[in-house]
Amino acid sequence: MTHDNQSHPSFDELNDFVDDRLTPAGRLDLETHLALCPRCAGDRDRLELLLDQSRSLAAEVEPPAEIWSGVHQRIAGRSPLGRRRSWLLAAAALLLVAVSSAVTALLVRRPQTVAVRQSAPAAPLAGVGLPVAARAVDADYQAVIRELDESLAQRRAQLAPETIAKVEASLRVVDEAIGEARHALAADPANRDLVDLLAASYERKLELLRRASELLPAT
Amino acid sequence: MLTHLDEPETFIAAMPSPPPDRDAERALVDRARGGDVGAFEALYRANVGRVYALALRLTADRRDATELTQDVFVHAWRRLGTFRGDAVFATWLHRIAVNSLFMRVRGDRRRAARIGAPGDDATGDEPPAALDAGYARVVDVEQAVDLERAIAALPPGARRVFVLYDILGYRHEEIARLTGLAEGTLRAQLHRARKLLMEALDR
Repeated sequence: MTHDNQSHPSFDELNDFVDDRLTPAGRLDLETHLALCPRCAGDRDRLELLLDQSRSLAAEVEPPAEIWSGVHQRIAGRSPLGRRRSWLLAAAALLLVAVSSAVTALLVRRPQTVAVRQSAPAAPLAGVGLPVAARAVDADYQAVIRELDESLAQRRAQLAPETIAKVEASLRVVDEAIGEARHALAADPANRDLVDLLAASYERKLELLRRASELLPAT
Repeated sequence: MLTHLDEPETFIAAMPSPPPDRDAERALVDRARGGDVGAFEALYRANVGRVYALALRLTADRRDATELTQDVFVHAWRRLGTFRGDAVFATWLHRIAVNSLFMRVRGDRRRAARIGAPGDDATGDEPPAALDAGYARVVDVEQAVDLERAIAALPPGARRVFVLYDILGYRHEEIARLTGLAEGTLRAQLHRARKLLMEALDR
């Protein structure tokens, strides 16, 4: 589109101009208009000023002091993951499949169980079809998840049914995200962001299980 | 280094931390990998201002930003074994933070879809998020506070695209992958955010 003094560029076009997304001809046309139209030139200047200010905002903001105490509480006594050898990780993953199935079977037989959680979609076939980096993430997280999962499963009757329902609904959402990340990784194994995404999903699951465990009465 | 501005409702600006000494950083990472919480705390102190700024701008909510920042560092601790020394630790953390945030957003969308809640942030039609705390820069303090508040008041979907593109310098395709938005929608959100910000700052 050409612009004369009667045909002003749209806001989208001004944005494309400052983002350098116009064709050379489109850019030249708009520059010609801006040279003749103080109103549009003013809009462009305001837009560029906004972008300059945005890019120079403070890179750091002082956080509330309680963040570190929360982090410390959650990591104290736990070693970082991901240091074991790959054959050991693979063995742990296989063991997890077996244990996870056994726990599920045990839950199904428990008469006093308020609600029976289906085994998470991410647990079976742990690591199968995933790149090596993702397999390590898979196995590492699932080993920790298993501990919390077992503890929760053994004492779930002590939780109110509505609490169990909420926890299970949240777990299903997270398990779906884990499933999606695993599928995406199977299609794009070299994508490190997807490995991070998978790990972030597991992290969310861990946190949910940890919070659910905290709801259990002290023994 | 972080600088505290002594004003009741304003905050806390941040002088950028000095660039990391890569050798010292690597040594801290190695010690932290071995379970040294003190070494990890040193890494935390060097990076938390940047992670919190990102979380606060993306969520526009201090409580959410606090939770997200905690999650990022807990996640980082657990995954230290996968950190490869070829990247700066801050870059690695940044990726964890952005992925954690968008994973949380996707989870919220799923929950909202299940209970039939309206107002998916992809439409940007929700009421503006409230910011109960703000930021300041050592220079141009008032101007920056105005801009930060205006950014925080943007609809969530538009705010996230603006923060990623105009503040953090992400490319369109990267944002499309993180948000799941089509490129056309993404540009519409970006332009909408800019228009709303210009209007807010003109008032």
